[in-house]
Amino acid sequence: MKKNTLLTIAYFICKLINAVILVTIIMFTVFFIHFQIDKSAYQNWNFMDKGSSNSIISLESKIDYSQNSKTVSQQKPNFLNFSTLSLYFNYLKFTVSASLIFISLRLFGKVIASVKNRKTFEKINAFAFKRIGIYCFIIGIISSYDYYDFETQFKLTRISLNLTFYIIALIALVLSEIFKEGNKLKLESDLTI
Amino acid sequence: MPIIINLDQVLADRNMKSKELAEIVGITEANLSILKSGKAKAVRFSTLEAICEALDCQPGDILAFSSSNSSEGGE
Repeated sequence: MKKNTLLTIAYFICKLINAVILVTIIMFTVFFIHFQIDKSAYQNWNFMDKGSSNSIISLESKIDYSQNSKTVSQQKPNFLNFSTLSLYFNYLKFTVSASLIFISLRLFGKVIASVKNRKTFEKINAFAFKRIGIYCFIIGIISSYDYYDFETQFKLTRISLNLTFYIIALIALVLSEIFKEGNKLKLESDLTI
Repeated sequence: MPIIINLDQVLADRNMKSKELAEIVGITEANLSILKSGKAKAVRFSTLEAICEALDCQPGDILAFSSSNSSEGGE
């Protein structure tokens, strides 16, 4: 496969994922607004906790309100009981993380485009990888905290350490240094007559 | 930079223009300008050979070392 074909596919995938993220953010915002207007529309929606299976360390605190009343304990936690604070927290957590992934992918797309145009070792690419690294680190921190509060049912607070985003951040920061070094070599090469 | 390029001097002595030299040597005028202004980081032996051949001179006529500039340049 030619170099440019691979890069074109990678660029296209970046654009596609970005479009999906953008649509998801918009849909999530619509749900967020609608949920506050008409909570009853979501009474059949059940909460499913993804757990902390991907984390290496996890600290969890679960307060079960239903232990006192047997009638409620039979029900699955649904969004009718979702507290406002928990709603705002989860909305902000999702939108900030998704926006940072969106920006990171956009930057990565720009790097791919510059490689396609044979402008690989530009200063702007080193800076782009540095930004991607910082954003992934922030996403890692944001995603480490979970807070779900279903009033009258249960309240779940969890701090977990998922290494995926930290590893991506580390790789991006190393790539940033490599591109910086590449830029220095390119400048030297350009000034060799 | 402690290395000084005397290309302007040699060109004036030979009554030759930068454009002509660039054409004979096979480099761009922009690159020749970088060389003359002392901004160049390195000179290829092949380029030096071509310049010397075009100007009928020795590398020492074009390049000179000045110790007084070494502390100022830094690079």
